[in-house]
Amino acid sequence: MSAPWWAAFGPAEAPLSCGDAKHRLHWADGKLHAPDHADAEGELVLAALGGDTSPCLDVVSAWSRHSDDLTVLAAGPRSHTDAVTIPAAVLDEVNELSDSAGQGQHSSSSLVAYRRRSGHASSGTVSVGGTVSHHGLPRRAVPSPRPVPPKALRQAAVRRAKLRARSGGWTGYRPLHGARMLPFGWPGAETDQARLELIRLLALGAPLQFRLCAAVAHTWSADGERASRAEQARPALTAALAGRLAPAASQWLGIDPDEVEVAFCDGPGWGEITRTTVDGNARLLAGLPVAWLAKVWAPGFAVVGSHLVVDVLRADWPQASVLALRSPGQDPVQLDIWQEQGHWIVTSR
Amino acid sequence: MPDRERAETYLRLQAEAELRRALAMPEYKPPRDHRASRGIFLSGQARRMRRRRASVDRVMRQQAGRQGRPGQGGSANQLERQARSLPAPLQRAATSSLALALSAAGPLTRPLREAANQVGDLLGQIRHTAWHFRRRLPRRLPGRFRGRRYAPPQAHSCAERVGELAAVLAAVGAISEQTEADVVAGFAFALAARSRIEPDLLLGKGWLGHRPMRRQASTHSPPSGQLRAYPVGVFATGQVKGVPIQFYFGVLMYDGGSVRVTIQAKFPPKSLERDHSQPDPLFIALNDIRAVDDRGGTYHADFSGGGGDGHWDGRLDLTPAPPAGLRWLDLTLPGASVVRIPMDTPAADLRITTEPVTATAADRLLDAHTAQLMLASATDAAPMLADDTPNLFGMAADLLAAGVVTTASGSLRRLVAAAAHLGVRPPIALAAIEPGSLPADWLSLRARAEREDGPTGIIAVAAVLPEADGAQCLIGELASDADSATMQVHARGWPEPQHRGGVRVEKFEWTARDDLGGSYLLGTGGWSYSDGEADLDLHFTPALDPGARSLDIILTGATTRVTVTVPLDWREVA
Repeated sequence: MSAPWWAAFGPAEAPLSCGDAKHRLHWADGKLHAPDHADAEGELVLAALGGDTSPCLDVVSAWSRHSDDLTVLAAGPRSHTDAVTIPAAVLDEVNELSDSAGQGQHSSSSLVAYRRRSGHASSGTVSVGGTVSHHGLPRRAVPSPRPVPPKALRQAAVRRAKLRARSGGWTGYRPLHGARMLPFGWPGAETDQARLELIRLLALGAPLQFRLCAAVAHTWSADGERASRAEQARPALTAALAGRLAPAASQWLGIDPDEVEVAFCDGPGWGEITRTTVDGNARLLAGLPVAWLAKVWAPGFAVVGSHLVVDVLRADWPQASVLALRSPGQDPVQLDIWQEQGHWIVTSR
Repeated sequence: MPDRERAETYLRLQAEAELRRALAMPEYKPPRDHRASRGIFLSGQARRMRRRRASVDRVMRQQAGRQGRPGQGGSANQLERQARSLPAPLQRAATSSLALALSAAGPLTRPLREAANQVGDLLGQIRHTAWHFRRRLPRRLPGRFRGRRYAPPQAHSCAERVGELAAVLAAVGAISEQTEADVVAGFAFALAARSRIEPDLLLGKGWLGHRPMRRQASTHSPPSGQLRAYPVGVFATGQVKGVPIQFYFGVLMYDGGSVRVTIQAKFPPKSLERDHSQPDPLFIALNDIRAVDDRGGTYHADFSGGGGDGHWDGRLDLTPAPPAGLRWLDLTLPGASVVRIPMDTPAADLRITTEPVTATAADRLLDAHTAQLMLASATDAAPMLADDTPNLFGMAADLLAAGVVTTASGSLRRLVAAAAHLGVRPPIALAAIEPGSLPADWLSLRARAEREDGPTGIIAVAAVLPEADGAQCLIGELASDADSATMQVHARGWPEPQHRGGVRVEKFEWTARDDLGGSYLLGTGGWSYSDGEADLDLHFTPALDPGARSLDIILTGATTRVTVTVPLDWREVA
C-alpha cells in the first residue's frame, strides 16, 4: 500500500485572532484542527442551534468545504517562490462582509450558520519567516443570551453532526437553499461566500496554502473522493498541473516554461516525460497524474538534486523514497531524500 | 460543435502562461502624490501669501502714517468728500456705456455663441482624438516619457488578453458563459493575490476594463401580443425657436402595450441656437408633443433619439398606450398646426424568406470581422489584423489552437485571402493556411467603400420579420443620405448588446444586398435596451447605390436567416 498523500508533509501551524485570544490552527496528517477549542463539535452544534461560532472553527469548516474546490488550485501558489499574499485591508473587509452576511443568514440544512456579532479585533499582522499571517478576525462573540437547548436536543444535534462529519464533511456553503442573505458590496457577491472563505484560507500563509492545494489535488486524484468526476474537471486539472510543472521543469532543465506541454494522465504508473524540438525550440512533453501535485509538488521536492521527482514510493516526513528522472526520456531512478531546514536533499541514490 | 474540453483547456493553459508573464512584471503600487511637485507647489503658495501679507502691511502702514501726521486733517476730509461724490457720476457713465456696448454687441451675440459652440465641438473632437492617441501612446514610449498620471498596472494587459480570449471562445460557443466568467474572475483573483493588480479585485470589486457587470436576470415578463407596423409617411412643418423644422413621421410600431412612431426632423444647419449648458431646444420641443385620437383619448409623447446639426431622428412613445382599433391620431407639433397620423394604413406586402444557417458560430464571427476589414483603408487594415488589442489574426490563431476552427475552415482561408488582398502577411500560426477566394460581396464592399453618392430620401418600410433564434424584429424606416443610410429597428427577445473583452459579440448579424449586387454591412449606432426589447439604429456601410431599385435586408442568427426585400421608392424630406 502506498503512503498517504500527506505523509511527506510535516505539521504546520497558523496563529489566529479568536476573539480576544490568540489561538492557533494546527495541521497534521492531512487535517486542520483547532486545538484551542477542546469541544469543537459541541461549539458547532450550539452555533447551529442559534449560538455563536468562533473564527477558528469557521476556518476549520471552510478548510473542509474547500478541500475539493478547484478554485484553490487556480488561485494558489505555483511554486515555492510564488508568494500569494492577502493584504490586511482586504482581510478586514472580508471579515466585515462575513459579519454582515452572518447577521442575516440562516440555514436549516447547515450546521454552521455564520452567526456573529459585529466588531472585530484591530488589524494586526503576525508574519514570521513567511509562514503565517493573519489580520483581525472578528472578536469571539459574546455567548448568546438564548436559552441553552435541552440536553436531549443537544445530544441529537451532536449525533447528527458526527454523522455528517463521517459522511464527508461538516456542512457546505452550497446547500443554503432558501437562506436569506444580506447583499454584499458588489454585484453577485451574495452568492460568493466561497470567495470570502478562500481569501481567509489563503491568508493563513504559505505552508497551509500548499497543504490546501495538496488536499484539493488529492481529492481529484485517482485515490480521491472526486476521482469519478475528474473527467469533467480535466481542463482545470491540466492547467493546475501545467502551471506547477512548468516552473519546476524550468528549474530542472533550464527550459522556457512556455515550452512545457502537459497532459493529464490518469492511467497506471507515474506517467511519461519526453523532450522534443518544435520549430527549433526545445519542448518538454509531460503526462502526469494529478496525484503528482499532492504527493510531489506540494511537499516541495519536485526538483531535488538535479532530478525531477515523478512519484513517491515511501514517505514518512522528514524522509521519503522517491522515483526521479535525471533527464527526460530516461527511466526514473530511486532516490532517498530528507528535509533539512525546509529544503529537501538527496541522502542516497 | 466545438470540442469544449479542448477549448477550455486551451483557455486555462493560456491563463497560466499569462500568469507567468504577470509574475515578471512589477508589483502594483497604489498611486501616491508626487512629493517633490507637491512640495514645490506648497512652497510657492507660501511665498505668494508672504508677498500679499507684505503688500497689505505696507498699505496699512502708509495709511496709518497719513492719519497720524499733524495739520493734515482738513485736506484729508476734503479728499474724503471728493471721493464720496465720485461714485454717482461714475455709475451713470458706466450704465450708459454698458447699454451702448450691449446694443453694439447685440448683432454679434449670435455669431459669437455659434463660434463658442463650434469651439466647444472642436474641443470635444480634439479631446476624443487625444484620448485614443493617449491610450495607444504609453505602450510605445519608454517609461521616462510617460505622464505622471495614474497608469493601470502592467498586469492589466495580461488580464485583458485572458478576458479577450475567453470572450471569443464564449462567443462562438466553445466554452460556456459560466466557464468564461469563472476563468476570468479566477485569473483576476490570482493576479490580485500576487499584488500584480489592485487588491480590491480579490473581492470582485473594481474594473479590469473588460468584464461586464453581470446583470440580474430580468423579472419582467416579455410583452404579449403581436408586433405590428403601419406605414405613416406624413410630412409636417413646425418651428422651434423661430427655426423652421421639417418633420417626417415614418412608421407606427405596436409592441404589446406600447405604441411608438418614428420621427425625423430636418432643419437648416447651424440655424438652431444651442447653449451647451441647457437641454437642446429641439429635444425639449419634441418632448412636449401632445396627441388626441379619433375617440377623444389624449396622449403625451416621449422622444428618444437625437442627431446632429440639421438632422435628428428617433421615436415618439405615446403615453398611455393607445387602445387597439383607433383610426387616427392628431399630433400637436411645436410651432405647427395639428398633424393627422393614420393608424390603420396596411403595410406593403413585402417578400420575406427564411432559410437555415449552416455556418458555424466561429465561421460567422471571423467572417463578420473580416468583412469589416474589407472596408478599412490599407493603413487601418494592418493594425486591425495584427497590432490592435484584440486583433483579427490573434483571434483566428486562438480559435485554431483551441480546435474551434481548422486550417481547412472557410472563414480562416477567407481571412488569409483578405489579408493578402490588403498586403498584410499572416503570422506564423496562420502561415500554413491556404488562402481561399474572396466572396464577391466583400469585393463589392471594398470597391464602394469610399463612395458618397447615395440617394437622399426616406422609406417607411414597416416590415415585421418572423421570429429567428428567439428574436423578432420590426423594421421601421430606412433613411438614406449621400454618405450613409440608417434603418430604425425595434426588436423583441433581443440579446443585450455586449462588447466583451474588447470583442464585438453579437448573436445576430445584419447585412444587405441590392439588386445590382452591391453588398452592405450594418452596424449598430444608437441603441436602447430594456428587458429583451431593443430599439436599434443600424448604419449602412458603404452608402447605398443610387441606381439600386430594391434592397434585400438580411438578419442572420445562429440557425436562421431572414431576408426581406424592400423596394427603394425614396421620398425626399425637404
